[in-house]
Parts: sequence; structure tokens; C-alpha cells
Amino acid sequence: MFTAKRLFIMPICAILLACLAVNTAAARIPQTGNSTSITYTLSSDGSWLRTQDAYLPGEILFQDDPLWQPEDVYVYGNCLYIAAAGNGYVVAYDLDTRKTRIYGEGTLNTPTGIYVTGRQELYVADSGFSKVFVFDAEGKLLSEYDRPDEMTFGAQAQFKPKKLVVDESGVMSIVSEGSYDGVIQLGAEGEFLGYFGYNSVPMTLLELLQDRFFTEEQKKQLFNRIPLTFYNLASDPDGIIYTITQSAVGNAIKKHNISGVNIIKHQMIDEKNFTDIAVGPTGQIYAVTQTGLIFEYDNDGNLLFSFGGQAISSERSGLLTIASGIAVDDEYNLYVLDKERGLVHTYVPTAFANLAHEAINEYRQGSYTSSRDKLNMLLMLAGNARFIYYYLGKNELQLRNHQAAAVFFRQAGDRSGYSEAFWEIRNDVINAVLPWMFAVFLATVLFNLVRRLWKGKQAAHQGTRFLVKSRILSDLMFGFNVLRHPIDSFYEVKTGARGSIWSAVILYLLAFGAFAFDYLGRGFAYSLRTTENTSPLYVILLFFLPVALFIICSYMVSELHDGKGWFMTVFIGMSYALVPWICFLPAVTVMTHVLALNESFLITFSSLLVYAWTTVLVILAIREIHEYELHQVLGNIMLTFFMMVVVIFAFSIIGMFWDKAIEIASSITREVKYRVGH
Amino acid sequence: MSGIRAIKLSVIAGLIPALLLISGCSYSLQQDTGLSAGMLVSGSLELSSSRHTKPEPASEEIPGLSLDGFEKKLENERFELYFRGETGAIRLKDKRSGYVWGSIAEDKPFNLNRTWSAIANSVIAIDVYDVNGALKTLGAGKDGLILSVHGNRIEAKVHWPEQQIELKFEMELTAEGLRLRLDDESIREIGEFSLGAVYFLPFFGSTIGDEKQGYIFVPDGCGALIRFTKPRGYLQGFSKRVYGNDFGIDSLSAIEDLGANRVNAFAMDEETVSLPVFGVVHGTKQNAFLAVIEQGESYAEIQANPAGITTDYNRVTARFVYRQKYEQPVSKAGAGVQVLQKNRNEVNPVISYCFLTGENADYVGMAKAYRRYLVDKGILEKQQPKDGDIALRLDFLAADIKKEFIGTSVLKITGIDEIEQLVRKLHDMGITNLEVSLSGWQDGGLNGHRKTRISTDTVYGGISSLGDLKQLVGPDGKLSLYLSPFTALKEQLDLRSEAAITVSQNVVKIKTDDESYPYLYFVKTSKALDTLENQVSAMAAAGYANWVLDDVGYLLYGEYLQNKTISREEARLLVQQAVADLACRYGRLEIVRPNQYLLEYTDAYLSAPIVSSQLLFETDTVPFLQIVLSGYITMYAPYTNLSLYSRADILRQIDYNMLPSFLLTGKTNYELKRTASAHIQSSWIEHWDEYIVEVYEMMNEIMSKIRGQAFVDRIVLETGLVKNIYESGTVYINYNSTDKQADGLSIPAMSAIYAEGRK
Repeated sequence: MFTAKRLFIMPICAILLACLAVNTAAARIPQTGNSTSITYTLSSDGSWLRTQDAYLPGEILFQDDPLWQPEDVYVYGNCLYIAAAGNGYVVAYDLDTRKTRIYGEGTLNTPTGIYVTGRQELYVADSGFSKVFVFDAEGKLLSEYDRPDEMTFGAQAQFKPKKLVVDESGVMSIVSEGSYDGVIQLGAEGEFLGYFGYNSVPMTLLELLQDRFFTEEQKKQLFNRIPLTFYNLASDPDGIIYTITQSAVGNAIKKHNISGVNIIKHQMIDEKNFTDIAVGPTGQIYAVTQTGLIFEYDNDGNLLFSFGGQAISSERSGLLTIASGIAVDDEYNLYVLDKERGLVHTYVPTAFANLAHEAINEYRQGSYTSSRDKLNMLLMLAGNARFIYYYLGKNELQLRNHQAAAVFFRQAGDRSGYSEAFWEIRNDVINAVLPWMFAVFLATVLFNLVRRLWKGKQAAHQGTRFLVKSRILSDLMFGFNVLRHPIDSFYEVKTGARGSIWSAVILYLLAFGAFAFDYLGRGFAYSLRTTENTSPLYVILLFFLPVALFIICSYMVSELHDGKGWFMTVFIGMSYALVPWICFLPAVTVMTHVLALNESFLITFSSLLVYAWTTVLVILAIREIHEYELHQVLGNIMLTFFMMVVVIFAFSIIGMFWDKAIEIASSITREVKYRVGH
Repeated sequence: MSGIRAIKLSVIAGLIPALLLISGCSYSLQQDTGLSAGMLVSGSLELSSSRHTKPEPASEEIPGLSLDGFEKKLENERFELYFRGETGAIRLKDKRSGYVWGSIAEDKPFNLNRTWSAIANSVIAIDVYDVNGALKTLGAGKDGLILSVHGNRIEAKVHWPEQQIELKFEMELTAEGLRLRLDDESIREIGEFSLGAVYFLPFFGSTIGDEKQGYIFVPDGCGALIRFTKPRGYLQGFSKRVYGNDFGIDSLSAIEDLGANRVNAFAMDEETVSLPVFGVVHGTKQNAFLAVIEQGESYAEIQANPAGITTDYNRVTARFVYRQKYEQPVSKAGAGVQVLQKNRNEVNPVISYCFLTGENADYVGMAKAYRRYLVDKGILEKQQPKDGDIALRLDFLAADIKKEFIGTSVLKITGIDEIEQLVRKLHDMGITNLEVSLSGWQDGGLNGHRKTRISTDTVYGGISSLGDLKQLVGPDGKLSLYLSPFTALKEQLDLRSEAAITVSQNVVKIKTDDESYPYLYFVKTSKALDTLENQVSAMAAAGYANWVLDDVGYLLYGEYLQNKTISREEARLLVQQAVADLACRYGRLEIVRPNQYLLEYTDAYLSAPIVSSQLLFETDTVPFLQIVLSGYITMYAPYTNLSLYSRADILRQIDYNMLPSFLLTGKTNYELKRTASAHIQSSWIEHWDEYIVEVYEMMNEIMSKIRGQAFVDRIVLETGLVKNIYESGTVYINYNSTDKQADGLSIPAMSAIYAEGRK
């Protein structure tokens, strides 16, 4: 019963938690910051949190001579290369001399992607001509590449290059419009090397079922499932390719290894409308949405900062109308293209961002103490930011300060890091305590041996008997009988010999206690939920709503199916079925405090045992109380679940109607008031 | 505890070089990290952003407009006023320089259509709504304009026959320039058209594109320049209500929904206009004017349009709002209709144009002219230059509410002992000039106390619990308490009887980005001022008379309850009266961002703005506000630790002559989570105490020499190199990452120096 219920509850939990997750505070103190947009990071509990400005809007470029529909930007040295699609050429802007230079005027049609190699060769993806052009630094056209004519490219495959990156050996990786097979890779001579990376097709539950049961022909008729196409790409100095996919959630950004597989395994905090991606000098990942929100991640895809925004109600430095490209230079200055206005907004890193970059970089290079010192400085500036605690924990772990690491990981809300530190701590404790435990054990054994020898063998151990006078206590104690002889016990309940309303109520309350303890009291490695971040009402509903619904529905179903039990016996019987839950679930919860995550199978196994036992008892209870056969019991349970769904559905419909009715009434009153007033 | 100390010491030891290094300072450390290579580039993008003032470009002498076809109507010893009957246009000749001011050069220039030409040439223009609520702007051409000259005044009567609207206004030549005045009683709306707004001289001082060197000055935040450029594409121009929005009638929330997975709120609040002035420069140090809205500013809107918005002209004017549209919600979900305000606001606009030539023709000259105006009005009073150390402001957050498993609790965030400990420590280091303030001191904490209840108890116990601290802060310092009677959370007031009501009869509320406390409510002005008065009196009886007024300074909203309306102007008078009373009884107050009408009662100006809104067309930020007030009102910067911690920010505080202030808490910022102050990220005393001393000493070294002194001039010598001349000394600020030379002095990179005398 409870396994099923858990399955049912989990999505609801997830939704409710997602709603709770936003917990940023209002700025009520008049804050004069330097920036025009709010910088967020993730707080220790995973919610969005305002933090110090990470980047400040700098000078806006091209204000006097706006570009026309710029599509892509790339920084090489002190020069900004922009694919001005509307103008039909590439603009190179020297940041030192502030002079511009134009490439490919007359040659290019709609340049949408630009990349500059170490040899200062400009590779331009022209989606208008469906070609890739290469220019040298002087602007001379070196070569142009057309659609590959190899068979392996695919007869139907289109070649409409939008964006591209080029590696040291001249291999081009091209994102082409409408190319579902992945990134097109062309060799230095323009020969087709193959497709790189892929997007798997996400399937809904319905589609999965259809996939299972439909015939091949039906499938052919029904589906035209195509994977999402890559939207843009970037590469880092090591040649690693990063892509973005629009409409993907949790993995909109992919960091591909050499064989094209995404090496960021966790769900990322991302957006569905990223338009460009760039890689910072030490591997930071930057992505910008069409709405001008800029996200910065560390090398592993953990969110550091999010800032920027759209020029909706007013146009200010650093707010974009439609963002189409982002680039970053060696000093972490960002250049973001505003496609609509034809401008380049720049962002300058603050001391805060630079310190964060240095701290993370030092950690990656193994300077743990120095990284830790920088992180402590960061803590002074942002005392509740998750990434700071996370990296502090990682540094302490490397420095073998496991206690400190565990505390930091806890503050970072990082369960796996915590578990790792905890495992080490437990190891130390066990190593310290084990000899003593062994000694005590030995001493006890010896003592018993000596005593036995001294006193001789005693009489056999007598079975204990519950000698309880109070009816209610004896009814509660009867619970232990249920564990040993369930069938007999439920029979006794049915006859009314055992159990009462009050004992049942107490048992339900105890079961709730066990549930609440498990729900809120699990060890940190196993659960992030605490009394602080959970509403008590939510916990109460989570337990009592399904339990009550199940009992009532089960009883109602049995009424229809010639069940022999009374409601009261069902009520009492079910309470006894919860006894294993009451007795053993708390033990599992306690175990979560001493086990690390890599031993989680013990937890899974033992909780499964508790759930299974409880389920069996529920089945037995129904069988005994209603004098059912096994198939009747199963039928009853199935129908019960069906009825629960119907009831929930009905109530939500009534709720919605009620809301709507109230809204209609209120708008009529408003309208009347307004008409009368005017 | 010792562990924490050790961490902190290492933090502090590391912080200073790191901040120096990171903010682009050229110390030897720089070479160690290899970051030095690109410092110049990063610096240039920052220094050429609109947060800095750019050096003035060289400019040839700019010719004025011609007087052909104009007839002289008025004259005094400095100015002559001309009029052209054909168009209704005026010209003003500044006899000191011979420069002729006007609106546009021709009757109908090629780049304006007939309607716009008529508006551009007009002395007065109006916005009119027809029966359907459609808006039209009309100029006052030769038809319907009747002038009569009386001494140094011209009385004008305007009549718009089609709309059947009439009004009378007056132009007067003064010693400073030109004053225009409109009497509300002269307005006649005979037909069914409604008067929306009035503009005086909508194109006065306008220029086409970048044909003239110069700029428009707008008082956005601390002040911003809109330099004349070629026409560019913009969504809209600068349009801001003087004294901020009226929450009772203006639409309260900007659309901020980006459909993002993350939090949608993204924009920092724009800066507001706290001074009713604007200006134009034609050729730096050649000719300029400053316009001061003397009356009707509660309903004024400053509108500046750079070239490219509708026309190719750069123009700035004041718009006086008589009626505005507001949103009348008709469904609970928020759908609404735009409705025109029924009753006309009573506005008696008076605006005076003060003309400046030569050395005074720039934003510094404007600030000085405005300062003179405020002094003449008795609003500002000169401080005496003082010796000794500057003040250090330390604000402490005493307590706030915290969400618990069940309900909320009050979390004591800073203990008296923690404050005392820090004060003693600073005293030991010789810093005695401490301005200590407590916010959230009330029983219930910052967001937990009832707004309209008088608190005589503090979160620490009875009022006497502050006695020791007051004693300790001593004769050199001051202990004051924060009050913010205007804003409240839902739980802090009775929404039915105490909350301010919008013109559409809803409770005024603005959305916060805190899920736990989603809306911020406003207390009725009269109710809030009563509470303020009673609160102060009650505490005065116990011997406490030092107050910091928070939201009183910058919030101004009308009260629109049916049958019991308090207009915005009446609200302004109420606030002004209440604060004047307090100032009269207990001395001038410390006020957070006071609007102009409270400057007279301000002893210290807190959290002074240091940037403009950085709108796309705003090219420079200038410390106009600071130049006006330096030497008259002590100004404090916003909290250094909340966002202005870097060396560049500290230099800016020196540049703008603002004293340092910090917001501190006894609890760590991690411990503040789940409180209503969880957004405060960097305030733990133990983290900041030593950096406070660093900042203070760096600022004190320079600013102690210019205490109580007024600005004489401010010159940007080159990008990132500023020279501020005070009454008896000069301060040089170098924001660059390289050393600079000026007046034979060397100013090290990222530093400020002081030199005796005016250089």
C-alpha cells in the first residue's frame, strides 16, 4: 500500500518543493548598486539568492554606427569579430585602437557564425549561401566549402551552416540549420568526417507506452519523432566542444567528450531559450538567453551567477532587446550582441567575480589552501552562496579536514560531498573505537564464561508474557501479536475481541510519527528536508490524506463486494497493519544517520522490507476482515485505488468551479462598483 | 571561536591586496598572477561606461539663433526677450555673451512636420484627451495667442478653439533669466475635451543631432548627462516624475516576466528624480541654462528626448500633469481598463530658467546656481569648514522575523554587547566620531512590529537598555534609531483601515521578490505621519531624540479613498509639515534620500545615490546632487559592504564627497537565512570590522581635510582622472590602473590625493 502511495505522492512532492524553492528576499533597504540588473546565485538551500554584482555593464559599442542584425561574436586577442548578418559582412573591432575593419563585403550574403583560429584565419558560416568561407587576416578569401557530397552525409541532409568552431588541425564543427543528426564535422579540405554528438529524443509516458504496445506500422503512422537540433556551439582551448539545445531542460548545455558524449551528468540550472554559449579563459561556461539573461557556470556546469535581462520597459546599459551572441575575452570581459539594436553591450567582472574565478581555478590546480583563503574572502562578500560552501568543502576534503568538509557540504546542500566526508569521519571513528569494542566484547564473553562455570547451568529461559491490566495497553501490545501471527490476530480483530477505536487512533498517530520522523529526520546524506524548509500542514496531509482515503474507499468498495467487515473493524484492522511500519521505519531512519550514500542499498533494502511487510499485512487484514479470497482482495485494492483517483479528481473539479464562481461574483461586484462610481 | 578568528584574520590579511589587485591596481602583486596583461582593456571598458564622467571635448564657439523676424518685447540689464507673431516663438538674448537662445531655428524646418513645428515653436503646449480618451499634443501658434506687456512681464492668453480650452500664463524677465507661471484658476475646459498636461517651452535649447557640442542634464539619481549625438534608435526617452512615482495612481509594476525558469525579476530599480531641475549646455563653458521647477513639481515630469526619438532634435522640458490615465481592474485576475482621471489635479506651475555663460556654463555651474537658489530660499545653510576626523556611520540590524516550522519567530540579529564591543574596539583605534544607528530595534524586529503602534520597548527590553550604548558612543558620536513609517508587510498593519488606497480603490502594494512576503504595502500618509509624531514624542519623553527617517524621505503618494482624497501635493505638504515640526522641536534629522522639500530639515543625507539609471542614452554620471549639497548637508554613501566594497567604489565615494557607512549584523549571513532580511549577504561584524577601519582610514586621510567645504569646481582632466576643487583644497582622484600626472603632481594608480589650495 505504501509503496504505491509513495509513487503517487512523489510527483506531487516534487511540484510542491519546486514551488517552495524560490526564496529570494526583497530589497527593502534602498540599495544603490552599480549594476542595472540583479545578480543571482544559488543559496545554500538551493533557492535563488541576490548576491553582489558579479559583472557591471561597461561601455556600449557601436552606438554611433549600429550593426544590422548581428548574429555572432568572437573575441580573438584584442579584436572583436562580429558576423553582421544584415550587413552581409564581418566586422572586426579593435578594442585598443577602436578602429573597425570589414571582411567579406560583397563575398558574403548572410554571415551567421564566425570563428578565428590561432593562425588568424577567419572562418565564416554563411547561411545565405549555405557555405563556409575562410579569409586570412588581410581579408583575402582563402577557400570556401560547400555541401559535402559524400554518401555518408545523407541524401536528404541539408547543409545550411549557422555556427561553427575550428580546431587546431583545421577540422570544422558546424551547426547546420535543420540537421538532426548532430554537429557536422568537415576536415581541413572540406571532406565530411561524420556527425558529432546527438540529442536523444525525450519521450513522454504516453509515448513510452505507445512505443511498447504499438506495431511497427502504427508507429510509422503515428510518430515523426525527431531529436532537437543543436542551436549553437563553442569550443575551449583544449578543443572540447560545448553545445546548446533550445527547449531542452536540465541539459540545454552539453560539454562533449571526444566521442561526443555529454560529460555533464547532473541536471543543470538552465533555460530553454539560450542563443549562444562561450567558454571563459579557465573553462567557465557562459550562456545567454534570447531575453538577455546571462548565466555563468563553473567547469562542471554548476551555476555561479545569473544576471542581465531584457530591455522591456526601459533601455539601460546591460539590458538587451534580443540577445544573439556572447563572447568572453582573457580578462573575463563579456561582449553580448543585441540583435535588434545592433549594439554590443559589454560586462566588466567585479572583484567578487574575479575572486570566485581565482578560487575555483586554484582548487582545480591543486592549491587548496590558497583557494580556501580566497573562498573565505568570498564568504565575507556573500555569506550564503552555495558555490562558496561547495568549493570550501571540496578544498577541505582534499586537505583531509573531514569534519570541516562535512560542515561545508552540509551548508552547500551537497549530499554526495557530505556523504564522502562523512564516510571518512566514520572510518576514523571506527578505527579509533574498534579495538575498544573488541576488548569489551572479549571481556563480556570471558566474564560470562567464568560466571557460568561458577554457577553451573541455569534453568531454561522462561517466555515472557504480557501481563497488562489496562484494555487499551493490552490492545496496543496486541500489535506485537500481529507481527508474529497476523492471520490469527486479524481474526481476533474481526471478532471484536481485540482492538478499539482508541488503540487504533493511537496506532495511526504513532504511524504518523514514524512517517514524519522518516520524512523530516533522515540523515543529511539521504534527505535535504528539515523542519525548517517544510510546512507542517504539508507533512500532515501527505500522511493522513492518502491513509484516510484508502480506508474509506476500501470500506466502500467492500460494501459493494459483499465484504463482511464493519467500518470499525476495517479501521482497527488497518491500524494493526501499520505495526511493522511503526516498529521498524524509525530504525531505518536512524540508520540513515550512520550510513554513507554508497551504502544506500542497505537503506533501500530495509525500507523495502518495511513497505512489503506492511503491504502484506494490509492484504491479510482485508482478507480476514471481509473473509475474502486472495483474488477478491486484489480486486478490492485495485478498485480502491481507482476510487481514490476518482475522489481526488472530483474534489479538484469542485474546487476549481468554486474558485471560478467566486471570481465571477467578485468581478461583477467590481464592475458594478466601478459603473456606479463613474 | 579561535578557529573563526583565525579564518577571519587570514581573510582580512588577504582581502586588502586582493581588492587592490582585482580592482586593477598596479602593485607588485599584479605580476604574480599574470592578470596584469589585460588590465588596461578591462579598465577602459569600465571607465568609458556611463557610470563615469567623460572629459569635455574641445569645442569651437557655438553661434546662437538669429533674431530675424523677432520683435523685442522685454528687456532688463542682462536679458532681452523677443517674440515672433507668426509662430508664437520666443528668443532670449543673453547680453553678457550675446548668445541667443530659442527653440528651433526656422518656422518650419525640413526635418519636422507642420504639427511638430508648431509644437516646437510654442511657448506653451498642451496634451488634450478627447471623449474617447485619445491623446493629442497641441502647440500654441499665432492664432488664439494674445499677449499683453506689463512692465517686465508678459501676460498671455491662449485659446484652442477646436478643443474649447483656454488658459492664461505669464512670462517674466528676472535677474537670472526667465520665469514662466500658469494659474490653475485660469484654465477653462468648456467643451468635452479634457486637459491632460501642460508643457512650457517644449523645444527650448534644442539641438539637431550632434551639430552642436553639449548635453542635456537630468537629475536622474545623482545626476546624468545626455550628450548630443547623431540620431539613434531608442524605444523611449527620459521621462520621470519628480519625487518618484505616485503609487496611488501610477502603474505599480513594470512587466518583468521573461518566462524564465529562474526568478524573473531582473532589473535593479531605476534611480528617481529628487530635485526638480534640468538643464542644457550649448558648448561646455560657453552657454547653458538651468531650469528649476519652483512650483507644481509634485505633478511635474521631466522629459528629455535625445535625437532619434520621434525627431532628430535633442530636447528637454517639464510636463505638468493635470490628468493621467490609470488602470481600473475589472477582474480578480488583474485584467483592467485604462481610465482617465476624472477630476483635474490642481497645479500651479512655476518654472524659471537661469542662464549661465562662460565658466559657469556646465553641470557644475548649474549645480552652483541651484545651490544659490536653495540658499536664497533658506533651504540650505552653509556648514563651517571643520577640522578633525570624518564621521563613520555604522548601522546595525537589531532583529527581524524568521520563518519557523510553525509560524514565525523574532530573531535577535545583533546584540547590544556586540555593538558595544565593536565601538570599544574602534575607540581604541582612535575612531571616535561614530554615527551608530539601529534598525529593527522595535519589539518584533524590522518586519515584525506593528507599524502604527508606538514602540517604547526595544527588542532588547525597555528603552533604558540602550542607555549604556548611548553613553558609550559618547560625546563625539551619536546613537540614533531608524523609523520607516510608510512601508509595511501585510502582518504589520490593518489593510482595511490603515493601508493606502489607489485611485481605483485598491490597496497600494508592490511586489517584492520574496515568496514568503510577496507584497509591500503602504500606510496612509496621514496615519503614518501621526504614528511618526507620536513615536518620536513618546521616545523624546524617555530622552531619545535622534532619528533616522527612512521611507519618509523618498516616498510620496496621494490618498485616493472615495470622498476623502488627499492629493499628492497635499500629501507633500503634510510630510513637509510633519518633518518640519520634528526638526523644529528636536533639531534637524538624518533622512534617507530626502526629496527637495525635506532638505531644509536634513542634518545628514543617507544612502545618497551614486549612479544614474544608466539609460542607453545617458552618457555620463555626474555628482550634481553632491555638488549642490557638499558643505551644506553631510552626505553618506550607500552601505560600502553591500555593494560598494571595491577600491574603485571607495574612490568614487571620495570623488563624490560622501562619508562611509556600513550595515552590520552580529549573526552570520548564513544564519540570516529564512529571515525577512535574508537578502543581506555581507554584513557579519566579525568579517568586516577590520576592513571598516581600512576604508575609514583611507577616506579620512583625504576627506578630513575638506570637511564642511563646498565644491568650487569639478574637472575631468582625462578619462578616469578627476580634479575636485574645494574652498581651500583640491582632491585628485585617479581611477586608472596607471599613475597619472596633473598640475605637477603625481597621482598613483587607483588612488586619491589631497593638495592644499585651489589648483
